[in-house]
Amino acid sequence: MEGDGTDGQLMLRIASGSEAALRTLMLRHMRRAIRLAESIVRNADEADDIAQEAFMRVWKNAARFDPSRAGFPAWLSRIVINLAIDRLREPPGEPIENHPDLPANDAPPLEQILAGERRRALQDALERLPGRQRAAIALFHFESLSGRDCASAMGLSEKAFESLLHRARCALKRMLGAEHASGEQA
Amino acid sequence: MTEEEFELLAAAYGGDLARWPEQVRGEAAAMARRVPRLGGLLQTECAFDERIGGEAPEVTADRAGAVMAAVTRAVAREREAAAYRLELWPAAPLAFAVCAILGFALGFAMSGTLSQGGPPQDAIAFLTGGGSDWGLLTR
Repeated sequence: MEGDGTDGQLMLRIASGSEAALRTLMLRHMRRAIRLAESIVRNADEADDIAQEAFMRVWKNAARFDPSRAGFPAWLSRIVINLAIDRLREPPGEPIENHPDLPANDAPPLEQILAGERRRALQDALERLPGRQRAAIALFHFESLSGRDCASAMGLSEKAFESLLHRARCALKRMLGAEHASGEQA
Repeated sequence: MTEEEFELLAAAYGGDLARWPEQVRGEAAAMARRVPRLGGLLQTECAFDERIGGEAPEVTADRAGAVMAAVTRAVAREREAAAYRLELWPAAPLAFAVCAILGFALGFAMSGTLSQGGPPQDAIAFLTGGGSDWGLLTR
C-alpha cells in the first residue's frame, strides 16, 4: 500500500511525485510541525503558514533528503525552525491579543486563577526568549527529541546545543523569579 | 564527573536522567544516589521540566487537517502550472522552425529576383536620390 513504509521510504516516493506519500507523511508529522512553529513564533496563524511552507519545501526538495545524515523529523524540524526564525526577523504586524479577558459573570475559583497566572508568567517568559533558545526549548521539551536529534535539527554540535539549552532554561528560571531559583545555581 | 559538571548538565537537560547524554547517565545516577544534594537538585529540575512541558501549544486534528488541505491544494496548483509549462515547451522550437523555414523561403525567392539582371533602375534612383544626381557624381 502507498501509505506504508518508513519516513525515508515515503520521501523516496515523494521524490518520484507521489502525492499519497506526501499525505501520509503529513498525517504523521503535521501536528508536530505546527506545534514547533507556534512554539517559536507564538502565533497560531503564522505557525500554520510556516507548517504549510515547510511541507511545500518537503515536496519540492524530497530528492535532496539524505537519511544517512539525519532522520526525517530532524530534517523537517530544521526547515520549520529556519522558516520560523526568518519570520521572527520580519517587522511585527498587528498586535495580537493572546490573553482574552475572562467573562465577568463566570469567575473561576482561586486555584484556577493562580494556575492561569503561572501559565501566563511562563508564556511571557517564553515569548521574551530569543528565537533560537525558544526553538531549543520546543525541540527538547515539547517534541521530546534527544539532545543529539535536537542538535541535528538545529545544525549544531551536541555540545553547542547543550549550551544553548542551558542558556534557555536559565533565562526562563531568571524570568520566572525565585520559584525556580535553586536550579539556576549551575 | 565533578559535582559542578553534574549541576551544569542538570541545568541543561533537566531532572530526568534518561534524557541526559547516554555516556554520562550511569555515572550521574550513581552520583545522585551518593550525594543527597544532587538528588534533590534533580527533583527541583523535574518540577521545572514538568512546568515547561505543559506549555506545548495544542494543535487539534482539525487545524492540522486544514493545513494539510492547503498543502494538497498548493501541490495540485504547482502540478498544473508545471503541466502547462510542459505543454507550451514544444511550441517554442516549433515556432522557431516555422520562422526559419519562412526566412529561408523568402531569401530563396529574393535571390531569384536579384540574380535576373540586378535591381530595377527606379529602385537605384530612389535610393541614390534621383538619376540626374547620380549622373553628376559619376561624371
